[in-house]
Amino acid sequence: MNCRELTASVTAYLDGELDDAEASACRGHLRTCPACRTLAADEAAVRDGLADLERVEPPAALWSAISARLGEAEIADSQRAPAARWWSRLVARVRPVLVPVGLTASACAIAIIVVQVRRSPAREPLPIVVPAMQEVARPSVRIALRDASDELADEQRRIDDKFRDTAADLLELARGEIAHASPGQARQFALEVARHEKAVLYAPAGRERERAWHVLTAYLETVAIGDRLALGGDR
Amino acid sequence: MKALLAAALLMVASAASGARADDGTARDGDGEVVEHAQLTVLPQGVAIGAVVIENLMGDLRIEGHDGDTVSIIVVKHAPDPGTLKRLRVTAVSDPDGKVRLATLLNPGASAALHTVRMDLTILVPRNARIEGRVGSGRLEVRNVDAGADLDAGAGQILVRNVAGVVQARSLDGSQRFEEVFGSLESHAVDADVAIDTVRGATLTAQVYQGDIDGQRVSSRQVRMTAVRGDIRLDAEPQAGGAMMITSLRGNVDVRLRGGVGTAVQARAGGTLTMPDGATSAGERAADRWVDAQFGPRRSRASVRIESRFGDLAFSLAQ
Repeated sequence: MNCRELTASVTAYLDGELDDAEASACRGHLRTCPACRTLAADEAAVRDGLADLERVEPPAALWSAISARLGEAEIADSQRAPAARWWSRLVARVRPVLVPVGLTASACAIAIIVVQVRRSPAREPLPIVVPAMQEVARPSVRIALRDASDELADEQRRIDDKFRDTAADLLELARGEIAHASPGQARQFALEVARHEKAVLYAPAGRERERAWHVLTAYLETVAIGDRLALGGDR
Repeated sequence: MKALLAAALLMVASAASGARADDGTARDGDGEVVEHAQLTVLPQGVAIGAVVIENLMGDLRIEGHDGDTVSIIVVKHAPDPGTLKRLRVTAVSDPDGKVRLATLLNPGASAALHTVRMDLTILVPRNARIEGRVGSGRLEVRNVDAGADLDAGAGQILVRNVAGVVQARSLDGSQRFEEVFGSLESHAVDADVAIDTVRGATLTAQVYQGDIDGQRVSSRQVRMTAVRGDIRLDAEPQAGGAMMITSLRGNVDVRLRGGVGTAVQARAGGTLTMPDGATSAGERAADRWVDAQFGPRRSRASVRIESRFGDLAFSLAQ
């Protein structure tokens, strides 16, 4: 007998319900196992405590109701098919064995799966949450350490963007004027715009490019307001 | 041959306030480190005829003086001494008499732009031509006689008591000119331009989005244009001179004074207001231009005023 078997039998042992052979085996295990002795002592103390409680007489109707339910169950059992009764007996007998066997089998299956996953050379990387959170945290650190030289470069980009937006708006306005101009004036306008845009494109960043932007936008403004001189002749 | 003078002539001047460290720096009440320094550039054989300055790190103030040297007063602000050392001023003197100054931010430990600053005050020979550029700082030029060529991004441009040709460009920084005696050319993309007391051969003020306000303008050729902004002008036309004042989508208000006769052409998409007493006036129905003449016929100034989609008011001061 081992500890698990004794745990299952200790109540019956204390109640004197085991046969001689099983009771002897229990006694033998309790002699050699301090933990099970403690368990049996605790169980005996609970039983003694319960025995000291004042007996309570149940109401007379309680037993009548229980007897009636038992009778219904026995009648139902008597009406079941022989095969069903046999199956119930078998389940009742093998249940104490099946539960530990099932647990062991489940543990073995999990262990096999884990070993297979670890041995698989082509396994996909599992989604990892923590590194992703670390990646999220990094940009805030970079923002905090953003240098003034980066911000100066940003300012240059802002200037270019604003000039570009302004030129786009002015170009629309100027095209509205050019729609009423002669073909020669329209051709002259296209050439001038291309020349100024090229100057912006090739100017180095900084003062040179900003001045090129100013020249382009000033020309477009002049055309947009309908200046005849800017269009290369009287309209 | 260019001579790098900055290192040799850098002198630490006085610290403004607070506890002063041995290295010439001081901490102000906000805990930032402030350094005041002065740099003097001497003429190298020939007189200094031009000064080119670029400061993208703060304000730039240029003032003419009677001497022949260029003095640079630098005030640096930084959160710590290490960052302060990154802020540099370079000065290069060309053999043709041009001095080039620039502020630099050397590589180093990161510091946010709003925590670092360099403000420069430059004293230049009064007859030196000025070229100045700032980013978002203020650019101010005073008391020089050889004109100025100025660029700003978001920074304000202020010019006061300057003779010679003045050119100014800004993206979205406002411009103000007071007492300019010479030709003036101003271009602002998204900002206002204010002009007060300008006298010269030409005055050109061009704005894409913003207002132009001119007071006491007496240049011979005046041209003001705004695409999306109003124009107000109080001017004294010159005999034989010309004015062209045009706004595409804003209002125009022109007031002329003085005894010079004027031939006015005006047109407005909205309300057009003209003074009484014109010797002859007529409306050309085809293009809605209104012609009017005022004052003596001799050497009349030509005035052309237009607001394509706004109101226009023209008046004569008594």
